[in-house]
Amino acid sequence: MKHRAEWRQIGIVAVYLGLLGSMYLIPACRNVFFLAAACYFSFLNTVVIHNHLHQGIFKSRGLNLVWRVVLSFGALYPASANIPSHNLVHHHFDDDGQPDWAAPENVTFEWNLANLVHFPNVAGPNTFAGVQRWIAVNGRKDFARQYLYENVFAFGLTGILLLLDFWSALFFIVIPQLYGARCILRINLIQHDGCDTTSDWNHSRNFVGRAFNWIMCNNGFHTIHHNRAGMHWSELDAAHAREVVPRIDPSLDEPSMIGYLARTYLVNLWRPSRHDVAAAEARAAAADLASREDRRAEAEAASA
Amino acid sequence: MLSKELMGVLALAILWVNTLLIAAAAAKEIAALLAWKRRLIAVEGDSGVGLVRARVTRGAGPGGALAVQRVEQLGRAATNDEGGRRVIHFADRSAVGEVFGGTATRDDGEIEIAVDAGASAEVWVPATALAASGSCASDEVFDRAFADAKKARGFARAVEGAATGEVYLFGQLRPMGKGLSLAAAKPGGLLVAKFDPRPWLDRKIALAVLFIVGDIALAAACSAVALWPPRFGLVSTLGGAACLGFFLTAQPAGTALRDAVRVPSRAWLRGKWIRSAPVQEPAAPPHAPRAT
Repeated sequence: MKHRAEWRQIGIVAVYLGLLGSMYLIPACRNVFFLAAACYFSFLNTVVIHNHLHQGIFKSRGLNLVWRVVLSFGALYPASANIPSHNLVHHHFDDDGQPDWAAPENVTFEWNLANLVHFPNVAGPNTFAGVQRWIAVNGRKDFARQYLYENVFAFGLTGILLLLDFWSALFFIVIPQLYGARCILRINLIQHDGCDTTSDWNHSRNFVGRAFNWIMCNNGFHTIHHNRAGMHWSELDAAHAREVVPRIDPSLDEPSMIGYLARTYLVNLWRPSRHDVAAAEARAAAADLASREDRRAEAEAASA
Repeated sequence: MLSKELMGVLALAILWVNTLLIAAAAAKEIAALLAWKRRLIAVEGDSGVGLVRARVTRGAGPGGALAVQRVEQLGRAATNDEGGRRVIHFADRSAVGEVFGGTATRDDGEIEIAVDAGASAEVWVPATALAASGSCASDEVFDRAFADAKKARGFARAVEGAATGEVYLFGQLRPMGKGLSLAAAKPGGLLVAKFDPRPWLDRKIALAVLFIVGDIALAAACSAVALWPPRFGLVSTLGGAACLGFFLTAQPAGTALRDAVRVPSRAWLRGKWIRSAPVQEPAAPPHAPRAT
């Protein structure tokens, strides 16, 4: 293991797979508590995918690739899809001049809750079509092979479980898997809707609760993660306080994700109007930040 | 304890919420197309906002074009050859329509229409015409492009579709001297189309309506089979599998519809070039005779 903090991520995945296995095999475990926990840990499994695809948690390349395969089963999508979709396109809000595949503008309902629920129906297919186009060019044969292994394992194992006991697998394996996969897509809407993705420090919404960030492996600190993608997740909270807080509009530092979701999608029916959040960084001192082109080139080199 | 019945209701609720959201998104596409259709009514007299059929007599653009649709693309070398032949895949970077200005004669008479030049406008060129204008001229052209396409920055190019000959014009028509003038309508802007946009809109609206009907009908059929008595028996289980399959495929079908009904000025061009023949690698030098 490269970092002691990775045990938290291993623990999350172990708990998640344990919950799935318990519900599939032991009828007494098929209750609301286990199902809700499995859905939540499925989302955390995708958070681990996100972190692992930025920085493999093991020193061994082989182990990192095997870990991707395990994580892919948990999310029912190939973990390696994160490299083009998240590391290369989303981080820079740009696909060679076209919008991010998971841009908030992909949904346009006036009723904002419908946008939240529908978002994965658009961002998911955009992502997988985009990954296929990315694989098709520039000699990405190694990536394509790994992507295939992850697909075969995720869908193969899920298929076997469905064949053995269809309804138990559908209700207690597939529903949690899809819940996590769809929630990680929704996070793109939650973290960027109403932000200014052309700005350097006000492109993302942060959720800064301590307990939330402990279990989420600091994924609430999204601005600094975008700007310093190579930084280990365990260092994001300190870097957020140091670099982001002086430059961000206070409305983009949310104390609670639950509070934000309730306010934005339940209490207020319509999509909030935008305001110039980027004005905050114009008033702050300039930061030492490489251009998006340079950061993208760095991410491209890392992915190779 | 979560019973199968309770979980079945939950699963069907998830299926139906998503089915209806995908249908609602398609309905929004229909609404946008209908807004175009409402605007594109023929102008009968000498003034008004609407559509006129005309023939370009003089265009201020290259080759006498009245307007052009320009798609900036980036070509990248394919990972895999096709039958040993090299391939370049193109991705669209941006698309913009430009009206250069000029004159056209209205098809119902000899009246000349002066068309204002505008920095940006809707220019609708058939996808096939745009694709044809972006096709590869020769293997020499391909090889030069491939050298760039292999590099990180890729092979940049612009594909243009020109509006010449017979066109359909939408905008604000006004009498001007002995003829007419056409300017951007407020609201509605300016449209120059190389084909009659009304039947095109009808076809796209019909496609989207068909999609909505199919989306809901398939969800209903899968649900009905999943609920077939005895519940959770063999037929019902096959219905459950069909529901899962439908849930997973309805989403890409929804985005495929969105792409299929994009107005021509925003439709994806993409495409690829395939070299006509494999590249002949230079023959390896003969082995030197082994020293004995």
